[in-house]
Amino acid sequence: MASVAQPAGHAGPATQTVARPATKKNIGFWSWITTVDHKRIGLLYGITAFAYLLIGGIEALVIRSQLIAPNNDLVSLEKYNQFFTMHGTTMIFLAVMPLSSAFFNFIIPLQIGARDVAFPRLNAFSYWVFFFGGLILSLSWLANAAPNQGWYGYAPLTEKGFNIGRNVDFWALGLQVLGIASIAASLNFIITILNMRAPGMTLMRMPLFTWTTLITSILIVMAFPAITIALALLSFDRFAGTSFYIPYIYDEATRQVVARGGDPLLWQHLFWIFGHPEVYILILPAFGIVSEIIPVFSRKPLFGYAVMVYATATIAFLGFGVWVHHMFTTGLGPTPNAVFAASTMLIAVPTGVKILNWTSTMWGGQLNFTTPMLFSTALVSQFVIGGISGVMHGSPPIDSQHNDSYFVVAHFHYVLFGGSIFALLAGTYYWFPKFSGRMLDERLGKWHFWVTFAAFNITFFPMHFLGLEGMPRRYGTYGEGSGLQLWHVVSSVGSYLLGFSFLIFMYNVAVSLQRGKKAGNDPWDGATLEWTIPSPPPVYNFATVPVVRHRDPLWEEKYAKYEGEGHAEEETLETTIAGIKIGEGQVPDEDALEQAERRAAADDEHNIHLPNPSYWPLVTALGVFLAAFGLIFSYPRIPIGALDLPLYTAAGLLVLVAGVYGWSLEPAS
Amino acid sequence: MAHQAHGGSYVGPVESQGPGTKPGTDHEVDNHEHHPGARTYVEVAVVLAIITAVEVAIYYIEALESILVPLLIVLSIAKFVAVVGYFMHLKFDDRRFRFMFIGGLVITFSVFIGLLAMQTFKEFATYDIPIPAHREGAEEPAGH
Amino acid sequence: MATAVELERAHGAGHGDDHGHADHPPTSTGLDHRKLLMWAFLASDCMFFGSLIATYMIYRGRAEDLGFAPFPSEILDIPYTSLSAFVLLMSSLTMVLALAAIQKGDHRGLRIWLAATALLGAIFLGGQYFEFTEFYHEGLSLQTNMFGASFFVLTGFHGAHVTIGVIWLLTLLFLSLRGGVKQEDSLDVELAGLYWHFVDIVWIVIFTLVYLIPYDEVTETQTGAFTYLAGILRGVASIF
Repeated sequence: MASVAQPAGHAGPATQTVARPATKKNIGFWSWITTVDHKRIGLLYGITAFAYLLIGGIEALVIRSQLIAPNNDLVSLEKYNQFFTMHGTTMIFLAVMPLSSAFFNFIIPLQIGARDVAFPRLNAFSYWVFFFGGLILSLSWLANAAPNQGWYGYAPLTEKGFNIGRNVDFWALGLQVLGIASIAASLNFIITILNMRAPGMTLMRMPLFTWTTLITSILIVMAFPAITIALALLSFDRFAGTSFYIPYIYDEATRQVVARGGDPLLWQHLFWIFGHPEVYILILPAFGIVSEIIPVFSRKPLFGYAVMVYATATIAFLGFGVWVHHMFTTGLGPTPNAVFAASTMLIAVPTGVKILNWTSTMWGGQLNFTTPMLFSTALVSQFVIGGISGVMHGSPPIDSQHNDSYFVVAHFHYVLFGGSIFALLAGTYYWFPKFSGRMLDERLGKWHFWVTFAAFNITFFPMHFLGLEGMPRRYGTYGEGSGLQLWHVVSSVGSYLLGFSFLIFMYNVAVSLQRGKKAGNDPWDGATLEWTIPSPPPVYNFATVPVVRHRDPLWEEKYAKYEGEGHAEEETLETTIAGIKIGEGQVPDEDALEQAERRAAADDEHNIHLPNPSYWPLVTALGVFLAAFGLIFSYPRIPIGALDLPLYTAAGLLVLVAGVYGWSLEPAS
Repeated sequence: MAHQAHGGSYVGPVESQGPGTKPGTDHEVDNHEHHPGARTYVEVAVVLAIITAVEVAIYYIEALESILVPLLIVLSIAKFVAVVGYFMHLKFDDRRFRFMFIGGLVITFSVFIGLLAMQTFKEFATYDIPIPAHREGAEEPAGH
Repeated sequence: MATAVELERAHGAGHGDDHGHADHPPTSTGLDHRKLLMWAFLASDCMFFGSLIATYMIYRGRAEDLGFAPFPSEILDIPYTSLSAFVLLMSSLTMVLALAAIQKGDHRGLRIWLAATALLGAIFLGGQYFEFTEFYHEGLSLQTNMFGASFFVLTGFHGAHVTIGVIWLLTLLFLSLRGGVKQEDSLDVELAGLYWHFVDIVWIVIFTLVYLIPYDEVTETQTGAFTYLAGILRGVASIF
């Protein structure tokens, strides 16, 4: 479908009027360090997160290799603990979330017709804090003290009494720093999406990916404070001798167990108050990506757009009311269990609505199974499997059977790999032309897809059986006669194949960057604004701010039947794509036109207004890093007044203050 | 009108408006000014000070012991609403700010009321806190 | 009220830059980026303090249950804290007066009220420092019991917020003395004000829940209310 006419004449009334801004061609190392351009930050996010995806993958391969034979001793059990903990932590916080962030950064301003995000330096700050947070977690390997308590770090396993090393410190402070990055980035995206939409793009004309980004950001902003406090209390337990999560301690002197009054369950509550919205933070961007891709390759507008938006919002809202389903086996009693079982069942409804809408979008469409479409349809089918096993866990009696078994492992890999990663790969294939100006190779892409799809099912489907046969989660070994080996071997072989599939992908990227087909503005005959501009986009994105009249602005522009000269004279503009009427573009309202005029006037006055590069976000982020680092390596210490601060922390705070002042006193543009 | 350069427009209470419905703020609704000025702010502050004094006073009045908790909660909500409404201008500012902040409050409240309910009223105690002998008539851990 | 705001808003939608900064491109909502950011941040901060306060409430009474003195009823000094709560409350007034001053272009008023606010904030912090050391001398530390831990962490995080606020206000004062805060920059003051008032309302909640409501009362009320709530929820749940 890539051959459909380019909207050549449709860059609009724009191209002639506005002088191109003078942009220095900055390509050096320091230009990347100081960049505040959302596209570059998006690429930085993408590259860093992909590296972590590979690291997390290697950790997974170690886990699978350990489990390929009974009583295997490839790695020690202590190391095994570190591998599964770091696998989970890396994949969630350092791979999937920042990969979503990469798409947010690169795509959102393009989709809403903006030149950058609302706070470009805050955006750079988010990236650098994320980078340093990842660094703290990675440094744990070098210190031979990788976190070893599982990704949700249940107390009191994380307490000094059980975990004397620095393992948990790396984890707690690493996540703390990553939380700052996530909250800062999300605040930025909320404001960007609310405030920087192109004239005429009402909320209900926003692309669905923009919607899911908005809602994901709201989730992050509201969910991360809970884990921030949970981790802060944990840090107090570890560094300051409190006992927030410690019910008893063993007193060496009196040889008695002494009550301390802490409650390990509080950790679980606070963690899952964050943790369940986190699940939606991981999956909603994926839903958004798929909701962009399926309509384009079905050549039909998204079925039930409004319902899709409401479903997303409902999922997010209900997402705050289901956290106890992670805790059904902690003995909270029948009332909480029943209430949260009900809310869990309820949240399956809007999710099911989404599945229905995607299939209905494809129904009767002109399907074109390019690689992004293949990955998207794979998401729809695989997510259903993961979703249904999720609903099973929503029932407390069943959950009691499955809890902490491989069945749960199978479930969340079906939603996280079969959901998030498939969508992120789909998004990569879909938007790669926009990132790089070249298409990814379709033949290799199809190979990549089918190998991934097969390997994914070979790896994770047997885990259902393993779980039902009694294989507990997180065990580094199993007995000879346990009858578990068959499925473990199948799963491990699948994981190697899965690793191989990523080699195909990387080869594809490497080759396509050199020799890929030139993409042009709009290789897929897309419907949204990012396809109206060159690939890769110029620094200023849009020479003129577009005016939006329709939910699928580019389709409207390409396919609406206009009579006469301009668009605005028509009352309604019938648009059909592939013979299907996709609604009537409305004449832009006066507010939108006026806004467009005023923005154009601002452009004329200042040329195009671009933010200056800045060192301060990096300096500030460095301060955060040093402060956290000092708490882990708490010596040397320096006394400041009544406080006895670790040297690095004190230095970090100074750098932080310097960074904040430098930042706020530096003119933004 | 030079103030409020950015969107949020102050509109003071207008004639047609009845007295404010918020507890404790009834009488300082200003019925003749266009937007809150220094005078309104001082009035609000006086009311806040009075409420604080009342709070501390009822803390010491034994006759009110049985309704102390609900009373204190109502009074502190009144203070909260007055500060947010007048000092933070949420009463006069764009309603989208209101949605944003109230949304955050609502999520926070519902989540933590749920959490407190579960932690206060445990149908099965997850572990027993040893009850020291000196506490006479100590019940078992909550929930039994 | 609502109608007046709506009228004004309908009129003002998309006209965010009619007055003030002409070089800012208009925003889709007509609301300023930074003010929207501040409100979103405050919504997020609700959850931050919500978690802390919930933690305190959960551990309320643990010290008494276990017999680990000192207990809050013995150690909390209501008259003293009432005074510092009053100080913080009044700092909200001076803050809003500072904003009103700069909006009218009254630079001298801005400086006076900013200085007053920062001073009141500093008095509050000094009071907190004194309170903390006093408690410490009476044997309450982070490690003593759950009351010490949750009390110091909750009020400590609040104090940290106040400290940041005071530094922010002093910075504004300094900038104003250098002539850097103009009438059209009143948003700079307004943002600091929003933050400052938020810190104040958090203290309103803490003052009531931590200081004024005694433990025995709250356990009764809490248990009673939640028993009732649990009954309702169980009824609702039985439908499913």
